[in-house]
Amino acid sequence: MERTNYWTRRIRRRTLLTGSATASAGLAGWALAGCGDDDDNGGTGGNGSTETPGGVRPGTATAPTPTVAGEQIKRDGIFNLRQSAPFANISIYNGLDSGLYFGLITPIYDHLWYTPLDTGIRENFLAENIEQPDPLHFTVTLKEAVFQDKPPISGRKVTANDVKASFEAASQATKISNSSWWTQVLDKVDAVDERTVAFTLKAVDAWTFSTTNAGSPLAGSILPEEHAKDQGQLEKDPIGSGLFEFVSQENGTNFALKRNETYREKGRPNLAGYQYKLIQEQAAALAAFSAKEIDSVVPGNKLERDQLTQQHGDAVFPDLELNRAVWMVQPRGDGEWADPRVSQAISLALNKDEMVELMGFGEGQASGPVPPTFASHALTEAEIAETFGRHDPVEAKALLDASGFDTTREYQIKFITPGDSYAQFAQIVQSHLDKHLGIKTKLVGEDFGKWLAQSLYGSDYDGFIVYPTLEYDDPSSYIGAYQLEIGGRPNWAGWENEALNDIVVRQKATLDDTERAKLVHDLQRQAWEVGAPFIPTFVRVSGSVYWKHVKGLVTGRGSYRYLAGSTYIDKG
Amino acid sequence: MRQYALRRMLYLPLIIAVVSCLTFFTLRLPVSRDPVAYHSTQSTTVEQQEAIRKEFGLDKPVLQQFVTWLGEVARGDLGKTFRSNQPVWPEVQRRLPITFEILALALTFSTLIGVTFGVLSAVKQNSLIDYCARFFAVFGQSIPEFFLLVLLIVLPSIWWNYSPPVGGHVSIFEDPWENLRLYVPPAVVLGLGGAAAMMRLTRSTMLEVLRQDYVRTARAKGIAGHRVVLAHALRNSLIPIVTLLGSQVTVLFFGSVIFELIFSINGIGQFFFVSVTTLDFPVIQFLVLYSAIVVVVLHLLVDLSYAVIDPRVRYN
Repeated sequence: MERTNYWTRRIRRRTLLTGSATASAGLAGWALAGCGDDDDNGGTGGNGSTETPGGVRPGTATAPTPTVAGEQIKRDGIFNLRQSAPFANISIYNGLDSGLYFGLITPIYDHLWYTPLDTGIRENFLAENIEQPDPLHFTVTLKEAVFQDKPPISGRKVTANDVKASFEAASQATKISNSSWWTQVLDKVDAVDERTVAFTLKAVDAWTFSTTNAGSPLAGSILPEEHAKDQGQLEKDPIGSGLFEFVSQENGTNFALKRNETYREKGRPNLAGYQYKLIQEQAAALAAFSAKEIDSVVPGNKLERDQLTQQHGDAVFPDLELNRAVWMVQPRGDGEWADPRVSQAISLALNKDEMVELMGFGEGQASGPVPPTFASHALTEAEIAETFGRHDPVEAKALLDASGFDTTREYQIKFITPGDSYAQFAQIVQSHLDKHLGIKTKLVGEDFGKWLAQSLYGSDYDGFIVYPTLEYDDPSSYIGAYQLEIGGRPNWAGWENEALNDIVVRQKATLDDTERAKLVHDLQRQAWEVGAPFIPTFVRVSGSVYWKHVKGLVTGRGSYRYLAGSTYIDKG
Repeated sequence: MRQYALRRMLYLPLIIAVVSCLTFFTLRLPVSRDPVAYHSTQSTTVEQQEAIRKEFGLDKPVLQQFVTWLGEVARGDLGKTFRSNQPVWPEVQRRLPITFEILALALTFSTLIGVTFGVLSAVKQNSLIDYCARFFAVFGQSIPEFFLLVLLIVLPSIWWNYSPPVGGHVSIFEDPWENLRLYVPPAVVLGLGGAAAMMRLTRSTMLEVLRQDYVRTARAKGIAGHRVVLAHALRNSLIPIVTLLGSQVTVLFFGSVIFELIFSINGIGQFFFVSVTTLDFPVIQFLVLYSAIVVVVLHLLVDLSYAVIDPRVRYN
C-alpha cells in the first residue's frame, strides 16, 4: 500500500509517501495527465453482464490474490501503515495532498466502477449494470448499498441523487487533479429514479471509464448528497459507503479507519481496520518496520530493500513491480529544436542502461512514452530497443551536426527541488549531453510551484526540463503532451505537430479497443519519427516490503489494491 | 521595575509592526513564488486560478491586502489557512501544547543536567567527575542534535530491532506514561546541546565565584559546604545561567522544526515548515509574528529576573 505522492515529496524533500496511502513517485508528470480517457463502456459487474456496444469490453469480476489453499482468512487484524506527511485536511476535494487520499481516504467511499491497469477492463463496483446505447450517453443502475451509520446520514440507502451530487461536486473541484473530462466531456448527470443514473457527455471519449476520468478513485467517489452539497462536513467526519469507516485523526495525522460492517459485499473487507502513523523520515520508517510498528515499508532503493530482506530473512517479503513513472527529458520543441534530428540525437545520446544502473541500481528498463506495464498499449521491447531505448552516440552526433544545432552556447536543464532523484537524473542527462553531443548545460533546480506553473505550463525554459511522470493507471494519460493545446494552454515544449495532435484526438474518439490501441501505438512510433520533444528514458522497479503476516494483497493492479478489501493480517 | 517593564513593553508594538511589514511584503515580492500554483493542476483553467486567487485574497493590490490583514488581526481574526481552509488560530492552538511540552522537557533536562554537573564539576575541579563532565560538554556541543536524533532512531533498530516511538501523540492528561514514553527520548537528545552549554557556563561561573572572598568568609564562618555552594555560590552564578536559559528557549523553539520533522511530531515546528514550503501566507505571517512576540517577552522576563536574583540590580 504505498505509492509516493508528489506534493508530499516536495513538502518534505525526501521521499514521498510511503507507507500507506500514497501515490508513487510521481511528480511533475502531473503534467502529463491530460487527455484522459479510457476504454470500455458497458461491462459486467461482479454479477451479471451488460450491453456492450462497439468499442466496449465486458468486465469480469476480480478475485483477490489467492491465499494458501485451505487457509483461514483472519478478520480481526489491524493493518499498521506509514503516513509520510500530515494532511492539510481530509476533504476529498481539497487536493493538495490528494495523492495520499488514494489509499487513505478513498476506501471510505464507494465507486461506481474501477478499471484495473492490468486488464484495462472495467469492473463494476457500486454499479449493478452499465448500459451505453450510444457514445454520448450511458446509464448506471446501482446496487443496493447503504452509507455508514453516522449522523446526519445515519445509514440511509445510496441513491441516484447521491451519485448525481457527487459527480457534480467533483466537476466543480478545482484543487484536485481532475482531468479535463470533468469539465470538457461530462455534460450532465440525471437521477432517473432512485437507482438509475443517466450520464450525458458533450463529446465522445473512449477513456471515459478510466481511472483518470470518471473512474478516478478520488473524483469518482460517491458521497452522500448532503456532504457533496455542503462540503464542510468532508473536512470533519467523512461518511461514505465504502469498505472502511473513518474513526479518528490528529491534526491531519495518525488516521484510524475501521471496517464498514454494512458494506454492500458481505464478508468484505477482511481487515478490521487501518491504523496510520505519521513517520516522515525514511530512516525512522525502516526502523519502525524492523520494530514491527508498521506492517509494510517502501524502501528508498534496492540497497535498502536488500538490507531489510537480509536483516529479517523469510519473515518479510518484497512486492515488486515495474514502476509506471517514466523519467522524461523534455527539450524545447520550437525554433532550431523543431528539427526532428535534434530530438532524435538527444534521445540517442542518452544511455538508458546507465540510467537504470545509476538510478535503479540495475533494476528497471527502457521505456517508450507509454510505460511497459501497459502491455496492450506500450511499444514492444524490440520497438523500444530500436527507437527510444537505443543509445548510439555516433549516430546521435551525426544527426545533431546535420541539423546545424548551435552547440556553442549554454542551455538550461531545469529540474524540481528538493529531491535527490531529480537532481541525480538531471546530472546524468547533463553528463550524457556533454559527453556525446557536446551540448553544454547548466543545472537549474526549481521549487515545484515555480517549475510547474512557469517552466512547464508556461513553457519558460531555455533548453531542457526533466522529470518523472506520475504513475497513472491507464495509458491515455501518458500521451497528452503531444497535443497542440494541453489543458487550455499551449504545448509545453512550444511544439506543434498537427498529425500527432490529430491522432491524440482520434484515438480519444475511437471506442473500439483494438483500433484505439493501434492508434496509440502509431502515435508513439510517429513521435519517434517526427522527433517529438518528449523523450521517455526509463522506468524503475519499485515496491514495498511486507511482514509475512500481511496476506491477501492485490498486486499489479494499480490503485485497485486500495479498493479490493482482500488484505488481512495473519499473526498466527 | 514595573515602569521598566512597561517601558520595555512599549517597544512591543513597534517590533510587531516592523516584523509584520517585513514578513507580509517579503512574501508578496514580485520575485516570490505564487501560492496559487500549489493549488492548481494541469487542468486548472486560468479562470479557476483566478477564483483561487480571489479566495485567498491575493487578487487585490498588496497595500490593500496589508491594510485588510492588519484590520483583521486587530479584530482577532487571523484569517484562514490556504492549505486547509480552516481558521489559523485553532490550527495553531491544537499544535502548541505538543511543541511546548517538548520544549519544557528539553529545557528541564538541559537545566537539570547542565547545572548539576556544572556545579559538581566546579566543586570537584580536576577530579574524574570534572573530566567526564567536560568531555560530555565538548561532545554535546560538537555533535548536531539532528544527527543524534537520527542515531537514536537508527542504531537501536540495527542492534535490537527496536524503534523509539515516532509519530504518535497522546496527551499527557490522557495517558502520562505513554506521553512521556513518546516525548522523553527525543526531548533528551534535543536538550543535550543545551545541557552541555549550560554545564560549561555553570562550571566556569562557579569556579570564579567559588574563589570570591565572601565564599571563603562563609566557609570560615563554618557554614556547611553544600549550603555555601548552593545558597551563596550558585545563586551568585545564576545571572549568566538565566541569560543562557532565555536564549536556549529561543534556540529550542526554532530548533523544534528539525526535531519535529525527524520524529514526525505534528507540532508548531512541523506546521511552520509545511506552511513555508506550501506558501501558506496567513500561517507564515502569524507564526513569524508569534515567534517575535515570544522572543521579546522572553527576553524581558530574563531581564526582569536579574532583579529577583540579584537585589543589587535596580531598574529605576
